[in-house]
Amino acid sequence: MNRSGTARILDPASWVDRHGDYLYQFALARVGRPDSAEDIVQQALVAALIARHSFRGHSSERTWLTAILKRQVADWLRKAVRQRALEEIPPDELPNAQFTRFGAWRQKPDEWSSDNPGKELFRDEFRETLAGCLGKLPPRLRHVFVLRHIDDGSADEIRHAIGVSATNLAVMLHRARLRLWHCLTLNWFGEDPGRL
Amino acid sequence: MITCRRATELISKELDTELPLAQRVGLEIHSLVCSGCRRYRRQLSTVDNAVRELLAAPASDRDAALSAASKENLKAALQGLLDQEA
Repeated sequence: MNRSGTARILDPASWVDRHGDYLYQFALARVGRPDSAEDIVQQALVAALIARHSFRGHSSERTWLTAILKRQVADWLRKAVRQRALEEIPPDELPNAQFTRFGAWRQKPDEWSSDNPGKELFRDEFRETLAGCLGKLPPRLRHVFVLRHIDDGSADEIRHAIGVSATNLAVMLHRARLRLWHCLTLNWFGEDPGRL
Repeated sequence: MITCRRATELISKELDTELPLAQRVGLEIHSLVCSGCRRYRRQLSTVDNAVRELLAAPASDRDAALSAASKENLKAALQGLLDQEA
């Protein structure tokens, strides 16, 4: 709710200057490609301009624009995955590196040394590390994984939207998580899962 | 008894959907005897929460910016639409 009690008025002519970089950073962090992030911001601002009469002033202009941008980001991710939905998932070496051929851990997961990424002191650095690890995922795994975590929808809804089988979705999410876990174990929690 | 490799698949799966009874039982029994998978399970839920938080937050790369040219293009596009309406 805005404090003055009067409806806020949107000012589309100033959107690019006031929110452009913010929206661009938001999109870039989720789609991972500068050119696509730029396109998405443009689409979101155009959609916002067309829909601006539905703005009720219950949130700030930026919050409202971000909500529209979020939908555009999710659309882009769905489309990106759907276009390659029928491709085979390429083999992944990481599970083979983590497990013996009998399926046991080569090196059992250790306690994470600094087990509390919520600690104020580490917050920003942890985020940076996590974002870096996310960025290292192969694109398709990253797209699916990000979609799963920004969408409010269930895994079932997501797999219908992107046109992959339940099994393939589970395989991709598992691989993404194992990779992220491995990357964080190495780079943040300071335990090399390969060390003796 | 399921393997650790299989357990990690189920640990991921349970973050997305309710496991069928047999899988749930298999995972619980495995977790009772395997400290490594218990840790993995705990750590993976930490990772999942952290990712959710990261993606709900504004942005991690505050140095990234639209180029001046892109901004001009964007402004022109929006202004064009506004003019059309007027």
